[in-house]
Formats: sequence, C-alpha cells, structure tokens
Amino acid sequence: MTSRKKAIVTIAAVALIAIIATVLFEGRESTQETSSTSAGAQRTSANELPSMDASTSPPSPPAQGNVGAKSSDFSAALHGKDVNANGVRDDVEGNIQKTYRYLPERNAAMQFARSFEKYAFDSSTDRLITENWITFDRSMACMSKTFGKDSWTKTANDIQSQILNTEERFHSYIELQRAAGGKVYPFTMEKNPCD
Amino acid sequence: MRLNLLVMKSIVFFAATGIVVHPAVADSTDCDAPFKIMFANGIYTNEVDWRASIEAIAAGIGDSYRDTPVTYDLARNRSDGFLSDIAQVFQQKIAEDSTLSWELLLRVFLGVTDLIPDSIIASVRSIIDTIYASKSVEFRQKFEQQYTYVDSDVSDQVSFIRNAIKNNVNRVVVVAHSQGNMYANAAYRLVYAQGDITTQSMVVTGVASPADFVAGNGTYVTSENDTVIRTVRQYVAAATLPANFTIPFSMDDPTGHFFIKTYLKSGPGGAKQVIFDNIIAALDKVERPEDSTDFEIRLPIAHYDEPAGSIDAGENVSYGAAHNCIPSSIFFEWAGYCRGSNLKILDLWSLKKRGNTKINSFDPQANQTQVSEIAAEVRSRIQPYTGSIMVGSPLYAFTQGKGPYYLRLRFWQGDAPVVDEAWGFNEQGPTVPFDQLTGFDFVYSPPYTFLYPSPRTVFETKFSTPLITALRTIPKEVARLEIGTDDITLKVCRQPRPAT
Repeated sequence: MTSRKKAIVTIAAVALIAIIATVLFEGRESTQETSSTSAGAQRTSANELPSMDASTSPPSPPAQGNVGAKSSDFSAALHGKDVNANGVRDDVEGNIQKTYRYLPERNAAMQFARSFEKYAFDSSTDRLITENWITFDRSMACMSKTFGKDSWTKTANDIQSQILNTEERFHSYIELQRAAGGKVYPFTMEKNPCD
Repeated sequence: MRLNLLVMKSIVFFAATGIVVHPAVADSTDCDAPFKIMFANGIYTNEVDWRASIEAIAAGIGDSYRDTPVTYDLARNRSDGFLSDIAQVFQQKIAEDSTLSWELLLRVFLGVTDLIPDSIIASVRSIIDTIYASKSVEFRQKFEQQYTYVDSDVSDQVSFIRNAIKNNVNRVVVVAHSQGNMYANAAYRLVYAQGDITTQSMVVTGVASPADFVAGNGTYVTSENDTVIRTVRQYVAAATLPANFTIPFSMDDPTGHFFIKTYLKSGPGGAKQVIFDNIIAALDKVERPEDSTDFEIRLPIAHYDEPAGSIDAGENVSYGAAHNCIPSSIFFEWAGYCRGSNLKILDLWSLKKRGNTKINSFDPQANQTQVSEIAAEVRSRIQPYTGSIMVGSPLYAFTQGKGPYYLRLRFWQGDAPVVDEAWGFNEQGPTVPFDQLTGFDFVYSPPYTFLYPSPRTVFETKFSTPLITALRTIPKEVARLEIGTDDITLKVCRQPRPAT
C-alpha cells in the first residue's frame, strides 16, 4: 500500500469514528430535509447508515469561499479528483456522503452523480451520447423512485450544480446539448431502475 | 441478462442511425400499433425537467392505453444558443466579481438556491431571464422569417417518427412545450412531406405554444399569465395562438411558463386536466398506420348517455344508431327525433377494410353489399374464437357495423301517461319492448310507476357488456380490442403475408 493510500485510509477511519460518535450522541435522526419528507422508497432502520463506508469514502471537501458553491474541486480536468475511482468526483461524493445517511438515498444520489458525470463529460460521439443517456435516464428514474416524484428534482439539480462547477465543465455540458439536440431518446419506465 | 444485452445492442445500433427502437416496440406485433408519446422540450429546461415532465405524463396515462402498449420518448430540441449566451454573459460577470461561481449560475438556473442571498439570486435570475426572453423572441423571429428555419434541426426526429410509423407501426403523439411546439410543427410537416404516410398516425398537442398553429389541427393550452408567450405575441408575432386558459400567478414560477411548475401544477378543472384531456383526445385521434390491420370496426358509445332533464320531459326520445335521425328511418313515422350529438355518429361509425376507405353503414349512399361482405369476412376471422355468431346477437350487430337503438315514446290515454320503450338492433326487425325484458319495472295501472332504464343502462346491459365479453375471447394476435371513452374498436390483424 502506498503512503498516499495509507493516508486516505487513515483519514477515512478518523471520519468513520467521528461519524459513529456523532450518531451515538445525536441519535439517528437524519439531517437531510429531503430524507425526512421522502415519498419514495420506504425507509427502514436497516437502511439507515450509522456511518460512512470507510473503504470508499473520500474526505469531506474543504469549505469554499465562492458564493453558492458546495463543491470545492475547481481543477481544469473535467472529471476532477476521484481518488477511489468510483466515477464520482471526490468533493461531490463527500457532499453526498455527508448529506444522505439513508442508504437507498445515498446510493441513488451516487448513481445519479456517476451517470451524470459520464453523460456530461464522456459523450463524444452519437453512440456514446445514446449509451450514456440511457444510463443517466435510468439514474433519474432511480432518483424519482427513491426520493419521490415531488422531491427528487431538487436533489438532482443540486448534484448537477456541483458537477458543472467550472467554465470547462459547463462548456462541456453545452457541447453535449448541441450534439444531442434534434434527436430522439427513450425514457425508461423500468420498475427497478436502481443499480 | 443476455436478452438485456441484445436489447441494449439494438438500441445502440439504431441510435447510431438516428433511430431508436424500444424493447416493447420490438417485441410487439404489428397489430398492436403501440402508442408512442414523445415529449418535445423547450429551450429553458434540462434533463431533470424532461424526465419529471414525462413521468408526470406517464403517471396519468400509464404503460398502456386501450389495452395497447405506450412507450415514452424525448424529442430533444436544441437550446438554440441559450446556454452559450448565458455562459458568455456569466463569464464576464465572474471576471468582474471573483466571488461568483459557475455553480452559482447553475443553482439559480436550476432553482436550487438554498443559502444563497436573495439579492444575488435576483441578480443572476435577471441575467438568465433577460437572455431567455431575448432568445424566445429571436427564435420566433427566425421562424417568422423563414418557416423552414428549424427543418435541419428536426431531420433526425423526422427520420425517427417516419420509421416509427412506417416500420414499427407506431401511433405517435407529440406533447410539445414552449419552443418544442415550433419544432413539432416543423417535424409534422416533414413527416408528411413525401406523401407516403396517408394516415394521421402523428398527432401534436401543445402546451405554452409560441406558434401560430398546432400541426394537424391539434389541441393546445396556453395560459393568459404566461409572460413568455405573451411577450412573443405582443412584440414579435401577433398571430401567435391566443391564450385559452388562465392559470393564476404563482411565485413558484413568476414567468407562468414552465411545464411542471405552472401548467401541471393545478387541481381538478385546472390546466393539468385540460392537458391530460388533450393527450387522451390525441391518443383517441391518432390513427394506426395503414398496413397494421386487415379490418377495423369502430363503434361510438359516447352517445348513449341520457341528456340532462329528458327523463320526464314528456318527450319522445331516441338514441343510438343515427339512422333514427334520417328520413329513411323505419322509426321516422314514430316521430322519434335526434338528440343533438346523435348526428355525430354518422361521422364516427365505421367499417374498414385495408386499402379501402371507411364505410359508414348508415350512410344511405353506402354500398350495403360491401358492408355485408366485410362483416362476413370479419366474422369468419373471429368465429373460431368467439363461437358461432348468431344473427341478432350483439356480436353479429357489431360486426355488421350496426348498434343498438333505444326509443322511448310517451303518449296519453285519457289522463294516464303510457310509456313504451324498446330497444333492439336496427337491422334486426322487430323491436323488443322493455316490459318483456327482465330487470326493469313497468306498471301500467295507477299509480303508473315506471322505472326507466337509462340509455346507458340498456346499452351496457344488453349490448356492450356481452359484446366485450365475446370480443375478449379473441387472441391478441388475431384481433386487437381497444376500448376508449368514446368508442369500442376492433382491429382484425393483418394475416401473415404469403412467402414470395
């Protein structure tokens, strides 16, 4: 294991302990407003996360000074920093982990973020646009099913706002819009759209 | 898993050629003629809005309509430079004020502005709204100057729709919002431009339309308080479709223009209901592609409802077959007369054989020999499944393109009213007096009580219920039964084409 990986594991372990302590002292009440009002998946105690998963969670992003920004990775690379290579930029993932403690909601948000990043930044051909749309559309269906039809759009747009947080990323999205416009794409009506 | 993989491959393959095939469509037979509802988006929306919009539509329609599969697609329209213009202006703003962020722009654009000061939201919102108003006007002006402005933008959609109709035997309904209406109108024109699609297998219904018309005489809903469309109408094109509904102003959407936030946000009797009524009407109106069936029988059923106030009006009433309303009617001598909408039946009732025009069996000019030949052919197709079809049965009357009639006549004997009611099939000779039927109560002596069955009751009890029961025994690969709010339609599937 490299020293860098060791550092990440150490930080994640510290975060794990901190969250367990928080849960023990504060009880298991969710801090996320959309969680408490979710009209989607039935919440069960078995799905309530007592902590983050230390094996996959990156550290929380540092506080940002930019107005209205939750994100913190403003690097030039479209995908930014993704240490655990799970397809979700670390600062976005950190916010998701921090915000959604209910496992199905966290998973749905991660599925959405992952598929949107791929859709927005890796759709260089018509074929890829279609492939990535199908995956992305499925993730939106999952969000709707999990958060409920009245709540999911706010959560989805919140994640999109974080992902398209630089000029380069926003322009990549604009390019996608230009390339995908004028075509027809299917909407899934799959009953179980969550990964 | 293997099947899913194959489906995915087929989607990808066709997508590369501008054609996307749904699994449900690929699996269905020609006889299904599945419905395809396409949402044509405006320029000031994103994927999340589109998905939410189609989910709202699907929640009201479902995955089947009239026992026929419904699939949903996005007719994705270009933003016409809207996002680029916003990005350009915002780039300048960020250069002037380093505390601003691109995420802020997105947050205001997408409406997720928690924890952002109102003054900043208002400032950014102003930029976006100004650009949007400008782009809407510009878009309409371009269209005004050159009708074909958007043609190149819809060529892929046109290919998709033409393929859906001609090869996948789909019936296509486009629900267009905002600028999507302009694109939908252009697509409609191009779909029919080659003259090889003769059925009305594409129907458009509009919401918040900046256009002058809805292609194919489709329906639309535009709110009086839709400021975007009002601006287009006032400053660019006075001929823009007039507002035909009033949705109260709401701070949720000050523009009064968005599909979800405004048009679908209403209770019973609101714009939402009108939009769904329009979509249902479009689904009822859109025709199957020419080659999907050998025969079609369409029976209107909406006209068997009792008009308000008629039950004890002391009038003679007849419902049902329109022949009751024309001088050649055998009942004309009874002075039975038409109740308003009965005349519509003349246009609706039809028998059709593939490749031929529809025949209205009540039309005095109709070739009755041809009607009987078609009816006999239909009966020969379905009889193996329904059992023998007896003359005088509901199924026989239905296949003959005829339906039940209902008469109520009132006259007086001294001071006592005498009511005579009858029902039967118009071409089947003697009528059947109601007092010979069970389930109804007629007392012809004082105090002269009569329990009048409504035309709807008679229709359902004596005709439609046994008819539908019989028709449901027919396998779907032989004939498709579609039961709508206004009609019962049987489509006898095309027989396999002989090998060449």
